[in-house]
Amino acid sequence: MDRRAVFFFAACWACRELTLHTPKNLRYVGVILSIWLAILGIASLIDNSSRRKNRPHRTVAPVHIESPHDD
Amino acid sequence: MTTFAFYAVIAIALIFDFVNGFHDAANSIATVVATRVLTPLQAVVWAASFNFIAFAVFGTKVASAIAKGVVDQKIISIGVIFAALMGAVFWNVLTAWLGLPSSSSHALVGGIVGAGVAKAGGHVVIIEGLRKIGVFIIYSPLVGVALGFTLMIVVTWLVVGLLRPNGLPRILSQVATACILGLVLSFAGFGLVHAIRRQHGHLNTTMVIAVAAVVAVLFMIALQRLRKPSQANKSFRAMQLFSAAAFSLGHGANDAQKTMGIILALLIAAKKVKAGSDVPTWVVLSAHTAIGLGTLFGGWRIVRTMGTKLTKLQPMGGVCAETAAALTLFFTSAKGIPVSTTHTITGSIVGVGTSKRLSAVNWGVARRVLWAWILTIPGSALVAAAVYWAVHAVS
Repeated sequence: MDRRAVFFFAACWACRELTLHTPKNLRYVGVILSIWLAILGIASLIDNSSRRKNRPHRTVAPVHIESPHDD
Repeated sequence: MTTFAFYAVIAIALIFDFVNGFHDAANSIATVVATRVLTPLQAVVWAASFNFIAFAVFGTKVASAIAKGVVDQKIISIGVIFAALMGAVFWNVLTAWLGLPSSSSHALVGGIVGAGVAKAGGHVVIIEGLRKIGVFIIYSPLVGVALGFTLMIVVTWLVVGLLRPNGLPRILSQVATACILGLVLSFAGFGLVHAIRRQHGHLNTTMVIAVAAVVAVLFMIALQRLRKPSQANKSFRAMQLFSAAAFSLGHGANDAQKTMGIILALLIAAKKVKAGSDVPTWVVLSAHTAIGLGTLFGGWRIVRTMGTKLTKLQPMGGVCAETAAALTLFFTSAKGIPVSTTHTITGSIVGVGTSKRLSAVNWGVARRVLWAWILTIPGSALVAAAVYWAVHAVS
């Protein structure tokens, strides 16, 4: 899994938990921030998967091992 | 004796503010120095000026939160304020000596709590006020991370579009950049004038949009010339001046107000001002002068080392990090929430670094912030309580 996405989701979870302990008049900060971090986490996941898809497959060239008895 | 103690504690509070400016100058101008936009001395003068100007722009809500929102005002005395300040100072010195992370802002809050509890017990703590400060210890760096990351992504998209040879993406990027810059500059300009004049209510939206449109057209014309990455880099170097100024403004607003809060609490305790009154102008001016002078006198030595440590931060990243931190500080200052300016800029730099990849961030710094969250308030509270009991036993 994308480590950056994990970081954003963990931060989102922390904000979600903190929202419950935030004074009522400032609770919207926690709500907006947790939604924002979740969006960044999802965007990071999508970015990571699209990078993986676009990465060219490495093809290993066949290695010819010369035998000392060839000649 | 009481009068001497009263003035001595005010002097200690202003020295605390001076030291805060001395240490935190590096946060606001390190990137400007690192990218050689300004020399260390020019950068320090630039930051100190905006630290001072902040008094005209922001109100004194943070000061009120410190003075009236942490412990019950009735128990505040010269001894409590002295113990709170000494607790914060001792804790900062102790952590610096032990190599542990700390935050002056949180140390001050911890000091007030510790001294207050030592005097009258746990019931004097205003839980609601402390909860507000406590949750924003964590929120403010996270807002910095989210804002820094988002700004960096948006700005990168725009710059990539602007540097394309021709076609629709280039035109769209030009229009978006011109509109964003026009709106931001127009709102910032009108907002600044509005705040300085202490006008209440909303801005004249029609006027703001009309000026924004004119500025956007001017930017559209200027952006036609932008073709090479070196030109974009040059523009970001110039923009760093504004982002550093904005951060210094936010730093002056939030950190100077903490000292104002301490002095206000002292004035209320000494019955020099009424409990419900605003911060006197001389307190506002002296706190901003102290933080500005601290930045001016000490900052440049730290900036020299910080500036060389941060060379990996490019002008574009510097602008995004400082803007993100400045916006966070503007919001918290306007809402009357004391936060750590160092943790806010650290969060913003982490956000900008994360936009490249997670390993681009120096996680050692982030770990230090985490430890500072856990240690500072309880530690400084304990030291302040010990100082209060010691002073009480002696007197």
